[in-house]
Amino acid sequence: MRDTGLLVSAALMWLVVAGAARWAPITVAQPRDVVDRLTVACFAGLVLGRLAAVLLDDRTSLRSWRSFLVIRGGVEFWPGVVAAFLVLVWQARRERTDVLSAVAQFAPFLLWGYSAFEASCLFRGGCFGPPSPLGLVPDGLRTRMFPVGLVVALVVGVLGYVVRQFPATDTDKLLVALGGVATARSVASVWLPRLGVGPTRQHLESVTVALFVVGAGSIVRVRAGLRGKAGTASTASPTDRRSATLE
Amino acid sequence: MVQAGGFGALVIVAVAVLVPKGASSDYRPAGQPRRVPTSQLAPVSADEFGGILVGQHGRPVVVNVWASWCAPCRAEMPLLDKAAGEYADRITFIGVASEDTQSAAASFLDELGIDYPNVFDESCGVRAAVGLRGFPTTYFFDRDGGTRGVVVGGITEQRLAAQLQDLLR
Repeated sequence: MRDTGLLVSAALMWLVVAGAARWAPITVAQPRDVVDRLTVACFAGLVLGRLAAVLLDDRTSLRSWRSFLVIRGGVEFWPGVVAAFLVLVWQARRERTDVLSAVAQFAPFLLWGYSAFEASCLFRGGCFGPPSPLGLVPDGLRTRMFPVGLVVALVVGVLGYVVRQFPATDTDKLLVALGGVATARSVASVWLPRLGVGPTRQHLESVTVALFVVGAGSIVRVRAGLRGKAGTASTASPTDRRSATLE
Repeated sequence: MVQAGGFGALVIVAVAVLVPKGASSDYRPAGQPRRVPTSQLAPVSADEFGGILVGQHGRPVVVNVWASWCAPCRAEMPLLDKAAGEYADRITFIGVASEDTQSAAASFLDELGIDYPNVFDESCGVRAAVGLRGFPTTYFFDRDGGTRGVVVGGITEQRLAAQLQDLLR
């Protein structure tokens, strides 16, 4: 018997991104090109994410391509995100478009695709979470659980809309996208069932990324502030500068 | 290509929604109570295996059926081993090597450093008795020996943790 859950997730992600590409056109690609490019980016993410998981958990699986292809064996999320972004950067450079702008325009689609993945937990054996009367009963269990995956899907879906619609610099959009996903995953990890009592590796990775985004965002803000002050000083009229000196 | 892909994706989702999902098992352990073998990969028949599970009545049991040639088995085994260590005082974990050779199965366990008990399904009787549909399959038995859950295919940490917590409630 084959597990169809991951296949359904992939199909839903594809449908959501294809639909979004029609609803939310971007300047750097046609709707059909959006799907094609993101398919390549996500495939690269899947491969690198799987490679990272194998290197961390079971290096002997590298000897066997069959073992490597067992996606359910684990795919590291953030290495996959890095790979997907690198592919988008490469595509933008190849098209000779502004890299930051191109990646920022694709970011909402990645968020919506990820949102579809989380929402499709219903097809992957159930949406897990803490026991709660407000929830669903995953396959094979008798406990009603609050569907954390569905909440993450909702949050990330809204985040995609925010990144898409609200006016902001490309850097800010990317930082908000990354930080939002990292925060959502960090919080969700607290509530998801796990073995042992400590945080999982995935939880720690998401917290690290969230802190990185806060740090990077702070640096960007400080530099923008300094540039703004330097620009104000250099554009001040000679009269203003003389007045400042005399005071 | 986009239209063809979209149609294909819709078909996949429709099949997933309409086709009944979830695995189940009618297997109910029976027989004379037996102890879990102390040596790894002791050959057992279907009756002996049933006796081992009966001997665990009063305690939840997780049974994982695997084979050394099965790639998803390799991926999930470390997870099961970790769970066996975490829940050692509350849940019994038993592995069943089936459709395999004892030497290959032994090498597999050594390579992965698996500590929880495993038996060898010499005549494939255990596999037939539990109604195995694919490798790997993990069965969750409650304290009374009833089948609480069946997971066909590799198990994720979330699923395993949720299933174990469900067993203990």
